[in-house]
Amino acid sequence: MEFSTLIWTTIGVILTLCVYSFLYKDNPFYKFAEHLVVGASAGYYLVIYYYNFIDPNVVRPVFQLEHGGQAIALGGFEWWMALIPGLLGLLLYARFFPKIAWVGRWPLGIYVGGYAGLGISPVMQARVIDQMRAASSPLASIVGPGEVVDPFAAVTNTALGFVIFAVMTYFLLAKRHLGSRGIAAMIGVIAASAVVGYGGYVVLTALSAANVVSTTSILLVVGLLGTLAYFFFSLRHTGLLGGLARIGIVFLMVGFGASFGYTVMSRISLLIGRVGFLIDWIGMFSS
Amino acid sequence: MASSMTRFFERFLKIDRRWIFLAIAIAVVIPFFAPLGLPVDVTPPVQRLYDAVDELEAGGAPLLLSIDYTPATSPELEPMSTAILRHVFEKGVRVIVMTLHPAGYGMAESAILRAAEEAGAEYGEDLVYLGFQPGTSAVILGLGVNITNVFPEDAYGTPLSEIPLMEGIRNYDDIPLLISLAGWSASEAWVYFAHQPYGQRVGGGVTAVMATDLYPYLDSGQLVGLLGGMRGAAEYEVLIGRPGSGARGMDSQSVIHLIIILLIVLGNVAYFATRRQRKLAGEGT
Amino acid sequence: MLRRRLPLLLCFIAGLFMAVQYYVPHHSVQSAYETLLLWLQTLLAFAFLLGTVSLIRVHYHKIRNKAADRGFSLVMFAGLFAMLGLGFFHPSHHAPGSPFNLMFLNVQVPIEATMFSLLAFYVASAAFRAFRARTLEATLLLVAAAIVMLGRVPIGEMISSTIPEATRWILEVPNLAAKRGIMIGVGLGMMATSLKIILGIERAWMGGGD
Repeated sequence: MEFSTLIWTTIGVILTLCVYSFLYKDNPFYKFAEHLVVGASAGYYLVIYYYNFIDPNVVRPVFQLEHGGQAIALGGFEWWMALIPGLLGLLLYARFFPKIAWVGRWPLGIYVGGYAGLGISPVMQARVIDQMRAASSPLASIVGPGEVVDPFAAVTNTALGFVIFAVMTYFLLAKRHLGSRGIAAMIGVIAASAVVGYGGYVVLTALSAANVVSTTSILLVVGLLGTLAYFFFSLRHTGLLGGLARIGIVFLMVGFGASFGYTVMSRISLLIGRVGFLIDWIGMFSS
Repeated sequence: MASSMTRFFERFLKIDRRWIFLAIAIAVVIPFFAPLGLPVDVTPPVQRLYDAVDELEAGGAPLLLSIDYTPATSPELEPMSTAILRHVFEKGVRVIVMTLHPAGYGMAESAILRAAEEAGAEYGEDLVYLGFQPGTSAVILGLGVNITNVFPEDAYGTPLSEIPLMEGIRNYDDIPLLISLAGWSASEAWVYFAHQPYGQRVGGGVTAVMATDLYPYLDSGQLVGLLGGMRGAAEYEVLIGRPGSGARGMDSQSVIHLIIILLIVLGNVAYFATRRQRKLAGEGT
Repeated sequence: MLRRRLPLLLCFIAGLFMAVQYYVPHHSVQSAYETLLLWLQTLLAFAFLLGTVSLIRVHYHKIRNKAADRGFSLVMFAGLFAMLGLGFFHPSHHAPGSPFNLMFLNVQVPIEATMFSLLAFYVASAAFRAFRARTLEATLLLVAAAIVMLGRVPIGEMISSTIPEATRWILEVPNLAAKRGIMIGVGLGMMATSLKIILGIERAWMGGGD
């Protein structure tokens, strides 16, 4: 291993420990690392922006008459097409001079409008139309040939899912909160809803086995409608809309639970990565 | 009368959080020295991404790999770029690497340097590094028209026309698969602006935080596959038969998840035990 | 006119053109589109550098006004100028493995990555202090989270094969349905915002004043 590698890695280790010292309490070592990284990253971004974009697309075409290895003519179309956006970009800096700050709105208008316009059609396609299509495709299979499902997976998945859902839906529909009941009542309620859930599961599995409809498809559609109903604020949440919205809450909470579990996983992974770095550094001395 | 149990729980709830920090620190370190070697199962989203890469032809149309992650999320995403690059180089699949984030520039460069050196891949023939371009949606849309419009030259200043790998590669029509690795909304941007208007096949690798939000895209086929967090990387490592830093982290991950679940349970037990007491005290006065 | 109307007009024209060009495959429209894409990139690059200028101003004033923590502003400048020096003036600044890149990999990467990893400790502490099964909704969330946390690590798979199965079901059914609902809702919101910007109803980007 090269000596310079060891030195650089050791710098990284020291800075890592400076940051971790914050866990004990805020201190100058942490502040040092914090300010160092603010400066270093600003400098890094500036260099990267310059060499990857501004130099090849603005500076060299305008001043050295070259773009992507090809010569361009002074005053030609390509030359102007590099100069104009460059000048517009400079106008953004007018904001630092209060008297002419408003000039900065011209490039900002093009920028804000341009990006807004670019997004409309693809975002509509990606987030709304294709999602609606995907959500409605299982419904189409109700009348068409049913999907082939692995019976074991179907049984375990649906049984578990329905027990959980029966319990939770029962609570929600009864508008009861866990905290206000005794333990015996709680067990009774869970047992009762397990029975209800099991009944629902048997019926739906039978339908599913007969290839009439898959339980998953129904849940996906109901969950989607429920979630949309929950976020639909234009009407009061009563009657059918209220019922749907309450089902929506169940789906949302399970969804947020999944997100939370994954968030924990994510944070822990970051820590593991850093600890791995420290341990590899220790290993450098034994190799 | 407040029982001694309740008093214990009350004090327990007020424990200095630095004890918890210490417990977490110890729990994450120990499995590095005493590995449990727990097996990692492969889930369908990872399998689908692996299959999509595995279908690419050696020496044929290249994979476009956009390394869009920043240092902050690198422990989750770097194992993914390493595993994917190992996979393609082992198969002889050519790869074009780029980034949509300025900090991704250095992350991408270090990932390809390592993988190319290990596999003996030749720059310009087996891989090319285009570098960074600002303006996410404008960049992705621009690549659909003509790659040289967006990247007139590679990251080191060589015009693309002089790079053998780029011969005959004009836009998404010549790229069978694109993978974005990102800890921000880049993967969604690739879906919006490469998949929707150009029908480009897009795969993603994201932090676990983001993974659950992207499941609708997997179900609808807008994403061909998805790696979620370090765990996703570990699964990909299992598929290529080369355990790396993803798989190495799974033991610590297991132990800490158990501890956190335990903390949630303990916190709730203590809370409900003391709450009952608080209520009784409240009624008494 | 020049101060308020012209920026709104430019915004409207740029927005309308970019939104409509998807549906007009004529080559003249397409070449204008390609040009405008490059303009948008250029403006973004210049806009990004605005932030750096602001950063320098803030810390310069701290030092000039002899603020108590001005020492750390000097550290900021040290980091900034070290990176700029290595990036612009070092002879091999553009090559792989340059000191510029080494400074990025061994200063910026460890600090940023470690700062983010601090969250692991706080999430553990929050799990103990804040996550209470007070209501049914909270219980539901906690149970789903616990199943997912166990189901996505090898130890959960060892305890019972049902845990990863349940995790998969949670992710692919209730989670999918809920996230799809949110995705559609947010998508509609994003489009509404874009339209408001293009039509000049949403003008926050213009800032205050006349």
